[in-house]
Amino acid sequence: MSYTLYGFAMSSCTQRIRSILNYKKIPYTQVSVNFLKKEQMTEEYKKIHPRQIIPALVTPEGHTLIESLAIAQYLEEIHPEKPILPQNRIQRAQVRAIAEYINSSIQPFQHLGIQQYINTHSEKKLEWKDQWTHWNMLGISNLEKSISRTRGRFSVGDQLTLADIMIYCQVDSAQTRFNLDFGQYHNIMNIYYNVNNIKEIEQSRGIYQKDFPK
Amino acid sequence: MQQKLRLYTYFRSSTSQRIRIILNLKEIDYEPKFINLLQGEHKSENHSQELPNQAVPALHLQDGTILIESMAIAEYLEEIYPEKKLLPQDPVLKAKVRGFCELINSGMHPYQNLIMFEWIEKYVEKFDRVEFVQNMLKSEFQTLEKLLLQNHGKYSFGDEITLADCFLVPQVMGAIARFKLDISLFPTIQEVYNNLKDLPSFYKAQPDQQPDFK
Repeated sequence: MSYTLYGFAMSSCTQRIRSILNYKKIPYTQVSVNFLKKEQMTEEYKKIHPRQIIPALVTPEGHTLIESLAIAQYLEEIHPEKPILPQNRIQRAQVRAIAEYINSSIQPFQHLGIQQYINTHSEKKLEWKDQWTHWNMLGISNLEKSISRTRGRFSVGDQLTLADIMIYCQVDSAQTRFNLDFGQYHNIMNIYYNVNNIKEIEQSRGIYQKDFPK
Repeated sequence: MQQKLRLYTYFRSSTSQRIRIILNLKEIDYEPKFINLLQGEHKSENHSQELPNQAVPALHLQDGTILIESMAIAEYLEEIYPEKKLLPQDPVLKAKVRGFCELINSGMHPYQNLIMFEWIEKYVEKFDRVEFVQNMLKSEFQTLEKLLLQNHGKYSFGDEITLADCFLVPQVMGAIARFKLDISLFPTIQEVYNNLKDLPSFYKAQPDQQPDFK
């Protein structure tokens, strides 16, 4: 019995967990929940995730876990090989701060519901790409500054951590979906390329998954 | 060297309130520093060193290290002050508590953030903040209700206070005060909330008990 990851190729939150599972060499199977086809809205998926969002991870013992950062830290605790959190408590707090910033101040601001709300309440129409551009550029430029204080080879010190996986997935998703260009953010792109060189993480990208739309 | 921990806080900031609750529960002595978000103090040059992300909460340690992001600060305090534990030992339960916090931190709070409102107001002339937040958060409160139904005792998860409670109370309190939440629609949330809000650690942390309350 292994883990079951419910997610979708175009979901950066799913990519985070896939990257960790692959990096730590944890066996798992994937179940595709294609949000373009609204597959998360089935009664079946509602039994897995009460909010019907992705990802969800079912453990070999049958426990269902939700929320990518809670899942990530669970995997870190149960599978401590190839650690993704530093030993040092301050550095650990710095890693979590980067992860939480992406999770709560960049990714949620991409929510399609916000665009839909604006377009039903305004003469000025908002393109989803412009919403992504605004929040990603703002968020990534803030991270560029904060990681300049903490980085070594990776965003906090010289070892890969959860912060780097989060940065990688966020940049990858924005580049792939809307061709956003983060070239001016040298620290961020340096981290991105260092993470991209880790085979297990690069191969976790959405474009390589069976359910990536043609 | 600072004598005490210093917490940069705003009375009405629910993210600051989470940390105030945790500091009270763990009986950690701290010095509050008040930042008036409404007057834009968080954005001023005067505070740019103290608030590296131009936001509250920020926790300054005795050696001058600055921690940001409420979840990261919460986890740090939990590690450094392990008496009065706020996370269960069991990894699955711990993941469920963290997942609950993340649902609030990244699934709810971003949609009532000042920075979000200011951006939407560029598009929507007569932006009704209350209507927007009610719209975005209806399903989220239903999700919290479902999760509490499965997990609650006196408090969110069983009969011991956890981080979930520290996140739940500010979210509900703010929603009632500012976004017309009818909590009677969510009986389990209401029951747990009522069990928590008058406990001294929670009561002393609420907005109208803060020295900077207006």
